[in-house]
Amino acid sequence: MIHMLTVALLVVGLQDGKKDERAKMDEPVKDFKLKDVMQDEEKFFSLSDYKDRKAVVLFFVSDKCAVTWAYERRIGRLFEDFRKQDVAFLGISSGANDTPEQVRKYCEVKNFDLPVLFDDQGVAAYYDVRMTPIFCVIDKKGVLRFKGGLDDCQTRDRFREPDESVKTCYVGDALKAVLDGKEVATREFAAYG
Amino acid sequence: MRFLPLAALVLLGSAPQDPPVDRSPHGLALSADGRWALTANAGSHSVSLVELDSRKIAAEVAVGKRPFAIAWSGRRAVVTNLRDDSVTVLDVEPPRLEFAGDVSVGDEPRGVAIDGDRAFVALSGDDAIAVVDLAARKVVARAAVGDEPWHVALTPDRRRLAVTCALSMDVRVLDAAKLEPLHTVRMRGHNLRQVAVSPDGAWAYACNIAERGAGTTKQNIDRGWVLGNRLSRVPLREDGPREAIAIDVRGEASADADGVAVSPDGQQLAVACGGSHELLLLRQPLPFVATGGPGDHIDPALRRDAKRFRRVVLGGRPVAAAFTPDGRSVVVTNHLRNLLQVVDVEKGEVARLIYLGGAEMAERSPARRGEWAFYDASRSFHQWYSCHTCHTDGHTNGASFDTLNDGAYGSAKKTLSLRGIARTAPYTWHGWQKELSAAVEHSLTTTLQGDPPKKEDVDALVAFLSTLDFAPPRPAADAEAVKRGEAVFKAKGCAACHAPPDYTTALVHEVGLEDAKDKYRGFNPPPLRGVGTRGPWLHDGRAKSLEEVLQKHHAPSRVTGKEDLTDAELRDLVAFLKSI
Repeated sequence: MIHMLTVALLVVGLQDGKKDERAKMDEPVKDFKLKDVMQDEEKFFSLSDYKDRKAVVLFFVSDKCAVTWAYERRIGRLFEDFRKQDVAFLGISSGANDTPEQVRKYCEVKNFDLPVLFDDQGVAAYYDVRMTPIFCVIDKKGVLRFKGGLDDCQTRDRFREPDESVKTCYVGDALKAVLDGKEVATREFAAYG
Repeated sequence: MRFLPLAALVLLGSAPQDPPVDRSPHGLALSADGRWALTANAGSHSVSLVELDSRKIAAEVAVGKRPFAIAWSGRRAVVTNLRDDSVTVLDVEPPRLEFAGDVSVGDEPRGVAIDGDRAFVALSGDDAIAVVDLAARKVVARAAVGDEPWHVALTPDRRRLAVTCALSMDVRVLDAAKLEPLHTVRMRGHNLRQVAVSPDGAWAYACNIAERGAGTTKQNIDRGWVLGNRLSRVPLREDGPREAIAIDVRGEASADADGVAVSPDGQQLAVACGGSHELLLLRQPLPFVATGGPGDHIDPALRRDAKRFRRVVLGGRPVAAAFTPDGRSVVVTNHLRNLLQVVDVEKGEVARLIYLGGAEMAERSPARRGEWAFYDASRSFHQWYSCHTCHTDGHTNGASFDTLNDGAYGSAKKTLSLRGIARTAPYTWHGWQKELSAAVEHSLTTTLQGDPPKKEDVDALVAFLSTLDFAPPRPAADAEAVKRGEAVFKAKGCAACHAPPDYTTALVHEVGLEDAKDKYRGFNPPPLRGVGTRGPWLHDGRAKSLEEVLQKHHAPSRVTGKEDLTDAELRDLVAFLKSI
């Protein structure tokens, strides 16, 4: 419970972008160029680097978020399932209290095996992301098709063994629809965080 | 001496005033029929041949200094001598054990695997694997691997070799015939030690720590955010990610998981945890996770299932483990108790103790008592880690930790080597600790977050730390370059802070790398003896090579105001530094 409060208060450190500039559902999103915290060398990634992929998923992550810890195994499964299908995953770190070193340590220890970009350009604000973990699914045309939490985990004691209560993985369903060229049924899903 | 080893050891042990020499067994190898064991006794520089059923020591033979690991095939065994840079070949036909010859192999040999006449030796100081022809007694091949290779294991078909590389934190898989790299699996954690291969040759199992980088508060330790202990496996047949399970029970962790063994049917795993003095017995299926895990504590379902997870108390410091061929027993070397322990797998309890020789508990010297404390994770909060976890055998595991020794939270420091510590005061990176006993007490209560130690415990730890010396200077490949490098060292003014013989001074200097978060300004120059084997370098491990240190962060123009190094000077200076 304490963790939940901490996380609620932790809220993503919004770098104030222009107020009117927000990503809109079913519309093209703007590009960004951010530094990868997972590498020793200075390396930058842009959304446009992935334009040949069938879909890109932005994974807003914080190493201090209790909900992310509770979800991490299912997040890993999502990565494993969809990496095989030409989907790229990009971590975005924008927690106000997060340091690049600690986010890197967390993502290494959990073997997420993805670039994690340090958000100093207000990308979280642009996507109106205020908690973690949040996922944004962007299709081949660069259009935002889904934004929200991972799944419908409903177990009250979900920090312990949440897997059994999960019926629907919204991010997975959105990705399936995007890959099949279909409409995404649930385009936004209010996340815990 | 070589030919009268047992007699010599017995004599050593029977002198009226002196307690017997602690055998401190480390490496372990079993005979194909599982009736006999060979132990590499690090304390007495010997190898013992033990009959497990009768608990008799059939023979003991002197080998090189600080034997580390041992492998046995047919009538031949080979033991690595860590401090002699050699291996000793032994003829073994129980109950007979005889010295056959020594072979120089390279810097700091550790793990060894044997295939007929060939032995594969991990050279942790050379970052290489050497292949030794045991009949001809010479090195016939060498291949570079990752940084600080620790242990090796062959697949049952002898085609592949798995190498745990502690400092580069990966497992290298090599073609054993060609000694060519096949694939590398990143483990994302330090302290890779013993490696065991599944009987189908599909997986290599090894333990490691996982570091979250958080400061050493009780809350962070309890959450597994300072470090956690993992049993990991890597695919050997093809490239793929490492998979891991957490083995720490919240409130009572399993520390220093140095040894791992797989049962002949591949269904059971045994993990020797030196810090928490226990053997873990695990049974498949185990919840190994590749991506997004594992959690920071043991899987709750696994913890509750006594068929799949048991903890067997062994005391002391269990180091290496091996299953007997029938899968019914696990044999463990216990370094501090001078024992071989045979654990009955079905009952989950110790069935037999075989005493290899050493001082009785009451006769232990202060240094030996300090050694017990050094390897004892129960001195840390909820027994998550010991001094040895990061100061590997008194050296360093190469990781950075956010201890309170810098008076700050959030600026992790590279673990310092403790070699030569008794004569290189002051202590900590910032040199604010003037007394070793105060430094020990501070580390026990803040870094380990343990109970305040008794004075005799601190004294014992200081006595043990005083036994830690630098590794002997390494033989120079190019003596001329070393000579020129020494001249560069002097000319650039390095010796002002790094003065011989240990290449340190007692003062604190600001060198332009200070962290604003730290309470203390400047750094006490760490001794440069053995500097080549304790990367990554500088207070936060920012430099991945000595070249990077000298060209970038700690270049002469930044610290002594002299001109920066030419390429030739750099090469020579690095050669000199690696030789001292």
